[in-house]
Amino acid sequence: MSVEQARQELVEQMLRATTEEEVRAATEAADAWLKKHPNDVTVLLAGEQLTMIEHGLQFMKEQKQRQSA
Amino acid sequence: MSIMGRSGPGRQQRIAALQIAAQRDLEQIRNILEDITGLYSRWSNNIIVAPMSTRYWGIKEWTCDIGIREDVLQNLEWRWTTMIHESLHAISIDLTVEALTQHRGWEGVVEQMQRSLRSSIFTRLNITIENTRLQDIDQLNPYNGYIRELERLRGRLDIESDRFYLDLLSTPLNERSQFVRRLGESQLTGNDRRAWLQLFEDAHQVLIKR
Repeated sequence: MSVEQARQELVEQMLRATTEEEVRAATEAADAWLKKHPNDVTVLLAGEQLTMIEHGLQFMKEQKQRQSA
Repeated sequence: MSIMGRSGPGRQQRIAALQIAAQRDLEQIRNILEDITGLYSRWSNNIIVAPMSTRYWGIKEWTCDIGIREDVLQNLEWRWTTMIHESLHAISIDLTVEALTQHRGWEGVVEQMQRSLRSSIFTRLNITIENTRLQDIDQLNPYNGYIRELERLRGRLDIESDRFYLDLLSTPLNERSQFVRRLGESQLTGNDRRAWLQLFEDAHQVLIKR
């Protein structure tokens, strides 16, 4: 697989992540990619939606915990 | 205002200067966007200068803080396009966690509006950025796939761009798809209507990423 193909697959994985597990896998994959390619703008831009969903899931989890406490 | 990342006296001063400038510019952008769209911004007035280790360029947090990486704030075209993009998320109606998860591509409206509104914002703020440089950075955007589908739908409906995207931004995120579907259904009949529904369904599948 070429670097460009790997990059496109990563971006697709980041944009599709919905569940906690998918988000965790996508963030790990993105972090590993960014270690090698720290200035990859497309991946960093895709990181916006991924991080919004990651933080959103955390936010909802905390809300549920507060309600059940 | 928050300071993130490793500290040292010189660095702290640099970050503080970036925050002050970004705060001022985001306030100006908010005022202009509220004026243009007639919508109210939920931005918390808090700007986070995020460290270089951050996995995003910019973000509108669920607290409605806006976070932007320090290197982005130091680059003319990225700085302004990112600030406008994040400010539009703060205006976007009913952007909730559930809606974003289920209708993510329909929030691509924000990036398209960033592109269409930026030149008038720059004019009002007396900022000059070469259009070719802006177009170059647009090419790198992973949301281009969302914009392509939104543009296919708009093209078939033959609605003027600013009107279409402002109507979408003003519609709750989880209702945007049905809003657009109904626009086509109300305009078209017979085979055109059937073709519209197929076009809509194909675009919607890309926009919801399933």
